[in-house]
Amino acid sequence: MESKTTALKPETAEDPAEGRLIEGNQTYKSLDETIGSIVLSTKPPRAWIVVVGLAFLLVNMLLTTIGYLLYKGVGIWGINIPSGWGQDIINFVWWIGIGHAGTLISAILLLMRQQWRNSINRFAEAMTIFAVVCAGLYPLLHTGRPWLAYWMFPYPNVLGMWPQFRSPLIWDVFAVSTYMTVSALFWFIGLIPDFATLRDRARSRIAQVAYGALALGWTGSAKHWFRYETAYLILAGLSTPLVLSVHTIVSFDFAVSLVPGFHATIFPPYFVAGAVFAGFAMVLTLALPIRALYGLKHLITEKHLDWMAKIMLTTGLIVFYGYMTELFYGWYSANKYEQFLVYNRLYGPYNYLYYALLFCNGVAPQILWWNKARRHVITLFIVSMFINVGMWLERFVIIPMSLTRDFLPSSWGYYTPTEWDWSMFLGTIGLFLFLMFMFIKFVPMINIFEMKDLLHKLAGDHHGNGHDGNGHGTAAAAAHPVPATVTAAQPHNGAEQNRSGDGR
Amino acid sequence: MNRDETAILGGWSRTYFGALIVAGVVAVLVPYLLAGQKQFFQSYLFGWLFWLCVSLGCFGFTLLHHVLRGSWGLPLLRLFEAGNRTLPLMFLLFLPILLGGHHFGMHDLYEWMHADVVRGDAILRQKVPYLNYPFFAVRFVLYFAIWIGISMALNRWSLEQDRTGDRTLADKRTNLSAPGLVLFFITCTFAFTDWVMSLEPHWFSTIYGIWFVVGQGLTTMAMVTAFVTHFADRRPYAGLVTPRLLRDWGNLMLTLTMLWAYTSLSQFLIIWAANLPEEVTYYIRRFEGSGKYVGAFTILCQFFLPFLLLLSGRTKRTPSYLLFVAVWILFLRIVDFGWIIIPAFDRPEGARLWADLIAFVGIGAFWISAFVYLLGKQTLLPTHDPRLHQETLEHA
Repeated sequence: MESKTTALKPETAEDPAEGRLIEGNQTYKSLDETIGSIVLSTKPPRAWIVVVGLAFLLVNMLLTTIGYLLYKGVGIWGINIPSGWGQDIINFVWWIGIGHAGTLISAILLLMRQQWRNSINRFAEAMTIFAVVCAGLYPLLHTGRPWLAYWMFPYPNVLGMWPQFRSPLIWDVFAVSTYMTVSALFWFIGLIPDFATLRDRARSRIAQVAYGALALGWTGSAKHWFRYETAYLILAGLSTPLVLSVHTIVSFDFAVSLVPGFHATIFPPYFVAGAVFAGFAMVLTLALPIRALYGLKHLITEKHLDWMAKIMLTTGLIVFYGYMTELFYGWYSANKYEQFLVYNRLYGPYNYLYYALLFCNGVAPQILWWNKARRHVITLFIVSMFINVGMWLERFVIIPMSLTRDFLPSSWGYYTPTEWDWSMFLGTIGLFLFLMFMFIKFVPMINIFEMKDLLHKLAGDHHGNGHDGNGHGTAAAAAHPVPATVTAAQPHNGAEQNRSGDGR
Repeated sequence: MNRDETAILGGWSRTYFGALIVAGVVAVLVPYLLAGQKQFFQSYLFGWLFWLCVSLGCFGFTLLHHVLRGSWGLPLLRLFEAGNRTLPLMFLLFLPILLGGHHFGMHDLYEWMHADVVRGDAILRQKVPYLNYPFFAVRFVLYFAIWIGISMALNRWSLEQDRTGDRTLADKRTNLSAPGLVLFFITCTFAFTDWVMSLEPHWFSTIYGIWFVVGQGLTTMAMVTAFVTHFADRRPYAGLVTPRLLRDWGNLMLTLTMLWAYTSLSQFLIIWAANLPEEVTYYIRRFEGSGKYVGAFTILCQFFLPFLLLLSGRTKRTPSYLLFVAVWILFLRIVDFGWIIIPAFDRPEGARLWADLIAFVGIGAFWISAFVYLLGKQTLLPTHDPRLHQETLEHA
């Protein structure tokens, strides 16, 4: 079979009608400089200092909140009976969801051989890790005695305590800790060749030693590359089920219960779609300003924005489908609690939040059907902000709105977040931004060697050399730059060009 | 038309079609003669639903292909198109059930069609605004109008581009298919609520629509993969069915197998854990008698076996292995479909399954003859796509 002629053209990443993945006259050297200089230059831009300063203040607010919470107890939050889950769980789910774009981009799109992931994967992976850090704080503190959190692990002990394995809350412990471990490993392994590039280019002794240690003795030999590629592919395979499993298990936290509004069979796929939706919105929320700030428009091109917008639109439609099925089957069930849930969402005390949710996640993203909107930076930014808010509202609608009005009217209640809820939430946003901007300063936020590889492939395509893409630019490629310009490297395949890479 | 391109269907003469249709009519009527009217309609609905799911799966993949334009879909496009062209036939085949109204057909199948039952049942009374005969019929016509309308436009533009080479038609197809896919999900959700979920009118599940769409995707992918791998060394597929494409198709079946397991498990776990009487009866009915063994069999053989086989690169490289897996999945889809639908009927557990099987074969005979006939009407490969190199085909 292998020897026969392939009647199908090999996939090509670039479609002239659709925009390019790398713009401008780029060479290996210019890539090293554009991306590496953000890390190696001594003076960060003023905006960076402002954001980090602000984020640092918020981190202090977070620490103050946590300190007071440990002193006083979870009662400082607005949670009560019947609403034992409030912002702590809303924010947990919100942050966990945000992380999913990173895993989708780095693992699934890698397995699907989608080349447009190359300039955004590192950034999104970092986002995943920091989002999981923020998420993890909430259930940990919500336990009330976080110093006993290790009781949730099934370790041999003399307490006569064993986790309740039938509870999805225990599955969460495993799902989230696995997620954190695999994401961190995936991120770090992907960074090794770039750490080596930075080690070789750094001028200060401290940077040389620090990056040298992180590069783990990387020399860029063929053997290193071979092992690297194998390890990366295995980790991608391991990460793929995590995209589905983590948020599925989070959805089980709700769905296996009896509470109307929690208990719906649509929850697993709808939570996963919502997670990807929220994740891409957050990637755009951060990537759009940073792209402008550091002049990365040639590397995160309009084509990338277009693709991210398309994924947001698709997942947004799935999420909206989820809302509508809940409404329809709520009525169709002819079950009075399910029907009351529909009534409560439309006419209950929090109904304005439900309508805001429908607008943010259902109406606002529809503008992305238009080609121009998907490439218009300000529109995209506004839509992403709507989605960030909308996904938070979604969890509010699911959690306190269901808990405060379940079965018996005598046990209904009301939930109002306190100032400590808000300071905790803003504090985690500060922590997230602080970590993100530290990452931008100290680690190359765009994958240098994968961009070189992409450049090589695009240039190779043009010269008809039939490169198979295994000839990576090594970490030392900067020493002998290859003047491969992509401006001239557009393939000419006409309108029926494979728009989606290969669609796998 | 290039004679070569349809040569794999060469043996199909007019007598062949005639024989198949006669066999279909006989097979559909046998349950009526041997087991009575009620049983006839139950078996007929089962057969109709299975083959409708293949037509709809083909329609869904046509939409998906035009949206994504991945090269994996090109050699399959004409199969998907022929499959979605059978939708008018499926429309006609439901008419015996629909037109029976309050006398037979609908009346034999759907409890909510019985005015006396509805009067005495508080839950059904509340569902009357949705579950009533005129609205059901209107919705039925509406779903098919949407499906047939979109598929006719897409098929026409696809053939027109073969003739004229006009590349703007590809964009037209994409622009119709993207909203078409949204409509497809919505209409399928309501359609399967109407035709299948309402067989057990007290029960409901919000994942139902997605569960059915995933299931029909798996059936269809297995079917077209079986077709193409079976004819892998015949023209026009010879030389085109590369390891790369085989791997893509294998991966698609793997993904759909996993999604089928994911949606099935999600629904089961959530309902089982909550153990609410209005929901869990669905599974209790399906675990009665031999039902639990059939259920366990589908878990093992529709998930674990194909999953493990399709993980291996060797299976996905070798046409004959892939053919085996595809046929295996198809067989299990029939079993699973039976497990989902037959317990919903009002009859003792495990009774008269032979009638369902015969009706399934009968409707299948109609479907297959229509499919082969429609497939033979144009080239087996869309020649409009520049990615399919004509010269390679000619020199292969």
